[in-house]
Amino acid sequence: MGANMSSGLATITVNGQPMAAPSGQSLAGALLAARHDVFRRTRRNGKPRTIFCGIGVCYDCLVTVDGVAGRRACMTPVREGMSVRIGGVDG
Amino acid sequence: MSQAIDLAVIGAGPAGLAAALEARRLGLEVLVLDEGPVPGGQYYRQPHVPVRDGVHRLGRHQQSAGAALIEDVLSAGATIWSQATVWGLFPDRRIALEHEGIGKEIVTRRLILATGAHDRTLAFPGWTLPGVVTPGAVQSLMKSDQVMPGRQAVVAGCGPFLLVVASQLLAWGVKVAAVIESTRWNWNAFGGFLQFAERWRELFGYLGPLLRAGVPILRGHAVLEAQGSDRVEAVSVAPLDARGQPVLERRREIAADLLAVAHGFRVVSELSSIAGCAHDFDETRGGYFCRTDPDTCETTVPGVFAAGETAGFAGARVALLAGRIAGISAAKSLGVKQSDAALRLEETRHAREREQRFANLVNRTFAPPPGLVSVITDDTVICRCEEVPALEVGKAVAAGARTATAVKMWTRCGMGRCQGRICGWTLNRYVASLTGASAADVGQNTPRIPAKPVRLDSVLAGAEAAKIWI
Repeated sequence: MGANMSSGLATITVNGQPMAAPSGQSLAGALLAARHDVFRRTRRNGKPRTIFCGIGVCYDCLVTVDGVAGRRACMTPVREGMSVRIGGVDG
Repeated sequence: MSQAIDLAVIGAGPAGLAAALEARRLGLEVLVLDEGPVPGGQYYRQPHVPVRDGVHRLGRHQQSAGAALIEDVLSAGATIWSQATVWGLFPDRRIALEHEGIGKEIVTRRLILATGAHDRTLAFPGWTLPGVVTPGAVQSLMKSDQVMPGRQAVVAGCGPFLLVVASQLLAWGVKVAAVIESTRWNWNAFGGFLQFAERWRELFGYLGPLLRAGVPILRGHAVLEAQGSDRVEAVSVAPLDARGQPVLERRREIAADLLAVAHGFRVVSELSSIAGCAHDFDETRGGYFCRTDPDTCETTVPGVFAAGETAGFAGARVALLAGRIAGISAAKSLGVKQSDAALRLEETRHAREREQRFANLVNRTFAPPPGLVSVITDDTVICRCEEVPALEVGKAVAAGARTATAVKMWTRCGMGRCQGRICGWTLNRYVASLTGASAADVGQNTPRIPAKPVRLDSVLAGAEAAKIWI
């Protein structure tokens, strides 16, 4: 068992809609499990992006968390009350 | 300036944890800094959510060995900071970092860099489509998050890690449509592998379930293209000829909603570069890696050590042993004298030698073939961050750019948030293929601070603490 593993469900909002996800799960995992396939769109070509490297290297999975843009969904654990915006340009 | 601690270790994977444990047991005050939300790194990746009943517990031996090591490190009295992103290293071993969103500065008498490696990727048409991921992403989703990343997968690239991930997908109930291995597993190397009988069981543990499930393992093949409109729907593959070029007439399509693709691993050498350590280049060992004294793991910068993949990709067993050597050596260099330390050091060096020989054999056997960049078309995105297509790179080269750095200045390729970590290898090989230069001549982007994007107030807080003018 992971040292920092928490248990139980947290309620977060994704583009204003409430969603339940296991506390401590990566936001990327939670969004994919809820079938959110577009985390952000690219600046130049408006292409959809989601998780790619999954370990914090590629900065593809960027989303806005509690008003802060450019957060890596794969490195951000789900926390109760988190407000997430996805689908924007560059997260 | 802050009070100096004895030892800071950057990275809480096998090497960093082993180093921290040895050094702490020899009496050093130890702080481990790790970027992940939970320690363990990739090899010892821990679950982040409770494992559901009835779900196949992936890599549970690895996870419990990692959990035990983390527990040992903590109960020995070392401190681990998770979510600690080191963005700069300054003279006299000053570390600038963002810890849980707050800028900090640490001064340390000895520094061990155990920054690991990540999947090494190569651009191909369609690789930016959702559903195309690295094998590492598959593992992080399954092992830590308990999320199944797709229903029907193609696992491609090169190296034994593909078999690990494919067998884990299978265990999770994902249909594995094919494993596409770009090397031919040079059978000549098998003589060399015979002496490592203890690793055969491990190999068959992964290979057995794939063979029993009838998963096609196509050696000497490569991905030409990922197809789909909003996400990947099919993967085109073709065999490679003797020069490593795809034979297009023998192209075929495989339906998949998940493509996990990487060609071995790239060493994370940004921090060791920023620290001023000398590096060597060997594509089979993960590209640029930090030069170390094999007896002590010390780099060319006094007081700075490197262990694990940072010192050349060699896998977790070497990393654990090298971490121990680095931890003991760091303690010795601070004047710690303990009678059994010298003996343990000698035994560890001996064990590492054998594991290093195995790693060298694997690295050479699974060296990615040279022709893989020939699948790149003009509109293939090379740099995912800045969306630079191959056409623009080609124009820069035609106009005289000869190095990765020159192409970056010209096109912004490698100038985005990942700082060239993802496109760097493609850029290197692609430019080399256009100019005929060697990979070492093309080079890579020079790593600079901030080593990772951090908030400006974190930089200011670190600079303030360190009395640095920026």
